[in-house]
Amino acid sequence: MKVAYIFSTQGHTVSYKLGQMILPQLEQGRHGAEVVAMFFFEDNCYVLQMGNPLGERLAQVARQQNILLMCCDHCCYERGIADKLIADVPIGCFPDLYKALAGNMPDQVITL
Amino acid sequence: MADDKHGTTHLDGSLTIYGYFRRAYRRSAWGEALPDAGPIVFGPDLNCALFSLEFDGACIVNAAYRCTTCVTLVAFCEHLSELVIGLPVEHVLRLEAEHLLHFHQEVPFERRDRALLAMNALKIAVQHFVQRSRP
Repeated sequence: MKVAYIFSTQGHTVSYKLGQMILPQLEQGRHGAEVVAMFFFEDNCYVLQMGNPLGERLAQVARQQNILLMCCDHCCYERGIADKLIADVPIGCFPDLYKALAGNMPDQVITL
Repeated sequence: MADDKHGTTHLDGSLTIYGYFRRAYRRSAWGEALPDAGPIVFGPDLNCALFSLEFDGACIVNAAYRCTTCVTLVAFCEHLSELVIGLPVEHVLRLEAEHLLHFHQEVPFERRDRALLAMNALKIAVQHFVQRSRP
């Protein structure tokens, strides 16, 4: 099963669900589903700033497992980080996400 | 007035992409048709823009636009509509997308094509006006 995650909720979404569950499982090859994309909204975008340890780990796994990472453009401009993201992590909006996923569609989209 | 908590200004006080977007969003009357607008110009990803310009004979005295709701494109159009006020037609036709990007280093590579779309829409509106003005 292919899944895409949308990180929308504020709070511990990234540090807890992504950092302590999803990412370690992906690194260990035991997540149980093929992750094709992760899209980040609002403060969740900060995790993909250059130098963020969690984000750097995630980007490495994404490169190895062909996972699309994308941050909301509006959210990144507002936070002044649009040009400070980890290399190869684009900013975008829904049209960009759908276009990027068109060749590798998820079976489920999970909003966290 | 600077509103830094929302990332609306650069360190020198000039508006960021987000600053121009917020200004456009607050002021916009998107449903109203523009008088004597230039042609719609299409860019990649189904984005498009058009400008409506007023001249005093030599210079642009008012500029308005409509475009799709990409935050970067809206901001570039908003900035251009401010930048061209008081400029002569010949000067506007010499502007390049790089001039706009120079003000907005915060725009990452994958969004820089919006500057070209906004600039093309502006220049085509100018050419549209020049052609209509010929006797």
